[in-house]
Amino acid sequence: MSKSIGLLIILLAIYSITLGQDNCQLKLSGQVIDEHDQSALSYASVQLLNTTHGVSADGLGKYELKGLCPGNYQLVVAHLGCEPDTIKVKLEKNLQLDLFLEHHTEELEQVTIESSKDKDQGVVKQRISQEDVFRKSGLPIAQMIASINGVNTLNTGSNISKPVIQGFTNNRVQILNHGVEHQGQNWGDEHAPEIDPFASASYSVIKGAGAVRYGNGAIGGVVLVEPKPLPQTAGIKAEFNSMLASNNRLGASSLMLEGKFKALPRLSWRIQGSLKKGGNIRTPNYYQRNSGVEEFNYSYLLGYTAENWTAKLHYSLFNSNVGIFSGAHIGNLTDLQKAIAMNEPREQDQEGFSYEIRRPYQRLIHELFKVEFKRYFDKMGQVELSLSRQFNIREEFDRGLPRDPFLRSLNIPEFSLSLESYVAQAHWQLPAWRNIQTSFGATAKNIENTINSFIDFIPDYKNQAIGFYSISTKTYLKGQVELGVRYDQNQMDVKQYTQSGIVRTEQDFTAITANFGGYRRLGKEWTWKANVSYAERPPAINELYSDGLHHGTASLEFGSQDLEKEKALAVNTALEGKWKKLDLEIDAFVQRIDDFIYLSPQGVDLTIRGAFPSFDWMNVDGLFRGTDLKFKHPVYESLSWEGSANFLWANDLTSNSFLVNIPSNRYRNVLRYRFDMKRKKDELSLELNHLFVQRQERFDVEEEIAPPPPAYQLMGTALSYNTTRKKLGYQIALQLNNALNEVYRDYMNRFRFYTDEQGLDLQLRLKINLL
Amino acid sequence: MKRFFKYAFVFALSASVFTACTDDDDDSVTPNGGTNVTPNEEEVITTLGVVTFSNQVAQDTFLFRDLDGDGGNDGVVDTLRIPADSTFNVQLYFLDESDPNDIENKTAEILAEADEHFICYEVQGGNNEITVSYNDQDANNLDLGIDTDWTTSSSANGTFRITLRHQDGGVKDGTCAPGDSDIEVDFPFVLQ
Repeated sequence: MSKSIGLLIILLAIYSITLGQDNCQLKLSGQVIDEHDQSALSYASVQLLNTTHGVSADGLGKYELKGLCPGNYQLVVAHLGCEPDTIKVKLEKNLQLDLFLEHHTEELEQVTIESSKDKDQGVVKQRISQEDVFRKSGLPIAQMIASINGVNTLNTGSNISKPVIQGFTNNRVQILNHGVEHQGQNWGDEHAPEIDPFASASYSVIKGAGAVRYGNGAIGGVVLVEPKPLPQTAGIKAEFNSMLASNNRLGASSLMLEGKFKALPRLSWRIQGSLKKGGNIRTPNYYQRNSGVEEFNYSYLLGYTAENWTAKLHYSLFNSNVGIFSGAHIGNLTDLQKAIAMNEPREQDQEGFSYEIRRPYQRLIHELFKVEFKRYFDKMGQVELSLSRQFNIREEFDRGLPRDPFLRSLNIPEFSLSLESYVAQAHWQLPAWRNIQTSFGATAKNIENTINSFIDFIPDYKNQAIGFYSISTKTYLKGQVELGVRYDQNQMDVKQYTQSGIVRTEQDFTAITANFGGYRRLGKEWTWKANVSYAERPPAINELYSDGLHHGTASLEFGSQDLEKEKALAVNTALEGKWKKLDLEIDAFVQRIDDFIYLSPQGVDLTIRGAFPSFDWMNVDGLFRGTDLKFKHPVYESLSWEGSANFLWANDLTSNSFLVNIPSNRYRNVLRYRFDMKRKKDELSLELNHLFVQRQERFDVEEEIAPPPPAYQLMGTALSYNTTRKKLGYQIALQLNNALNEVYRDYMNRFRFYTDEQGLDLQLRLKINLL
Repeated sequence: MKRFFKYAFVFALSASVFTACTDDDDDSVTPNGGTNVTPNEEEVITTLGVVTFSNQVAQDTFLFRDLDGDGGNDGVVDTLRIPADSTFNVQLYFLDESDPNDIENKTAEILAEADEHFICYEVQGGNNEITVSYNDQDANNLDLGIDTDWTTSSSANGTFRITLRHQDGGVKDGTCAPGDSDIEVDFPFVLQ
């Protein structure tokens, strides 16, 4: 009792002191403006360091701080996509001060690390430069994301790619598309994300397990796929993207229209559609039969901006048919061993060029519908609510039609799944208090998976989950620290059809995620980032329940309902800066995972179809370590040299062996020459690039189907030209990949047993912006 | 302009609703009406029978049976105990016995699609102790292999592999190489 009275007296004393300062009536106000195009930056945060004063600017970038005492302050202004700026202010009377911020998103030659410039400060986050986005246009989304240093792909042929972050993929990497967890059949190695890369403008990757805001279980990392902001000025803008590739005679193009009508100044809109068609992939010595791909996608986005709230509506539809190389479809272990023993596919699997997609193939449909609402309060911060629905349909057609005449006439997929999911999200960002920015959030989701085929590799299930998180960020003069915690509860309701009838099983999992991290500026040129995170991942549906034959790998896979959740402890760190003329980025991480869920070989099972290697999902202990290096050096006048190197080690500590499907060491080098142009806005550059991928030597014979393929080197070159004429902006690039037509196979391609990789490929890209 | 926008908006919304409906329709295209699919209805062959004949009279039947399909218990295989130094007729049959109340004979289906199937016989690592000649051909006059004559050498033992190759899409050429294996059974054999 006496304690609380004491506390009360102290509080009263502080209060009276504050009241006593009569002259603390000063006002600081102004507008936050983009330094480059003088446009207003809405909702920037403006804070006075080491005080309780801080506000978010309004939609027009206007801010106002009231009740200030005279004195010297340090004002920190921060905005998404900008470098936070610190300004010294001497306040003697009411002051009108406009703040200019350097906005980075449109800049082409930027270094990729952007983490210190946007909202995910407590983690190591990297963004793809706009130039790389253009250079990878028309490729599967994972191959685009792989232009981030240290991000790889796990491929099934040339058209199916999944992102691999720090050696993790599938259930351990989450993709956030337009702010929503992408819900597909993410568990399968050959299940690529069903997302149209043309529909978005910004791609970034959060490395490691620390991304508290974006859901649980993503212990490898999070991929953020975001659209560019809707236009803020009246009129119509257009963007046309087109890509042609010689190797598989691929054509892809996308058209986007966006704008604002004068009569409806609060409403912005965008519509976008894309088409893609490619034929058989050509390796240096043969074509891969049935390796074509086709895609048809469209999307739209509507945004409404009011005084203190905004609303958005987004819809996208993805449609794709992907041919599976016929030589990779095998019946059993004998077939697989025969394929491995041969240097090249059978004659019947090599054919001339064709666009035709026959069995075996995958048919995919993904639909996303999302509404989002944001409200800005004067004293309560801002609140974001969103609700989304996703449909995902995956149909896999086997090589051969069924023998039964009736089933044969139906021509239905042998394996077919549909997933319907609803996600609701709430995020509340409180006003800053003593340089501390805090947000709270909650997520609820309902996912239902239905099997529509005879083959039921996984069962029907319903997954309901709720999650809560809080993130607090404290800003210092030289950096920031962030603490994030998250709790998730997950219920899996499974329906299995067995010989003895329907069996229902219910399983509950909880998961805790926590992250402590931040960055610190070291001198003028260097930034150091580090975070420590703990994350739990409950087992996924395939790990619990998969049962049967996995086509393509000719293996039997069995889940286990007794699996424990994974518990991961990770440290990520990144150092970036400049030493003399050398730009440097160094990332490193260590992650230890207790009860790592792993597909462990169990010998051979004998069936009437022949023998198959058999695998069980098991808990082991895993240890991952890696480092990614990148540098850039202006060698001589217009010539620059960029290089990167990636190293990764992954061990199964339980059986003291190496884990499979881990990328080997790789080294990239790029020499770029920039021509002097008469017009300042024109850019012309020529580059030579070289990639060296070492053989994966960290493997165990018992874990692998066949030993990893040998090392390889690839050479390439690119000529790119950017210009603006009248009201049109042009970007043109001519790119030659695998210029020496090298015959090689990659360890990260699941078709390495069956075929060489793609040979020489000449790609032409064109992007026209109607400004 | 306002009106234009209004129509554009309605169009866009209806487009999403329309596609959503199509998706739903797709879901329901399942062979037996969607939800009551059971794994047992998957097209499986559980049993390969090898019947030897002498003067058109059945002598012995040798079986490979794996009633619970992939995984579970391994299949059970009989040893081919067949006469040495002789020639005799052999017929194969294929069954789906996964449901004991509804045993299906799959041989007719293979015969109906003879031009997509080929049965290979091969002694593993031996000296052709059993040689096989084909008595049945498909419409293109290529061998099938359900009806064959076997000629055996003097007493020996080893492993005899019988493989049903699925060779669809016009790739069948009378050899074992094209297509992939639907069935592959290694029978131990004893020539006596």
